[in-house]
Amino acid sequence: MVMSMAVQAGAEVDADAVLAASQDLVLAGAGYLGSVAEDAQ
Amino acid sequence: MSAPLAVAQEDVDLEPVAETVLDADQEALMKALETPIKDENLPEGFSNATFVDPETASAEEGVLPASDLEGAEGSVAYAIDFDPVARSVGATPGSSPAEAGFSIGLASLNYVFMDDEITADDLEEFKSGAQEGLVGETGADASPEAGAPGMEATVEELGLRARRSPT
Repeated sequence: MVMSMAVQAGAEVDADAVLAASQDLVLAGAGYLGSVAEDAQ
Repeated sequence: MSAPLAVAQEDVDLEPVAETVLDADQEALMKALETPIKDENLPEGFSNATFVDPETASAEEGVLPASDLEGAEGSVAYAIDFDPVARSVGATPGSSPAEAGFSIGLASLNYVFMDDEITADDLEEFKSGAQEGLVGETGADASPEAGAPGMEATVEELGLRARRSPT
């Protein structure tokens, strides 16, 4: 399971944009997992 | 304050990654993952990933120790700098970063290795626990915001196929 968390504190927060950022991060993390797993074989 | 937690499971688009992960030696993989993801592999606005041991991490780091999840065999995590303004998060469209006002961010990435496939019930239970962990114990009929004034949290299961295959 790959999880990401993104937190923003500020005067003006766009929750949808933070969610999109977190989604981008989990996608990047899944890609990194695959590349590391290849090297670990 | 907003704290979405995106959760990704294996999806059709992740099959090659899943197969590679399943073929890898798990101990070696977890050890190799202690080397954090590089900045060039991170999305815009994220940088400086640092390995953290989930077993000793603070609650603010938002990572899950394997000992907290039944069936988990290991957990590897990174604390990551998050600059919301760099992504124009929080800024009104067309406004400058200065106009967006005070804004700080933090992020984490967490790999949890399970001894078996995660069921829908497992995932629902986990999401419920994560929601409570982010905003506090609020009771069955309380709103997510009730546990922490000014705090909004969302736990989402990410549809990877939709993101990767927009058609």
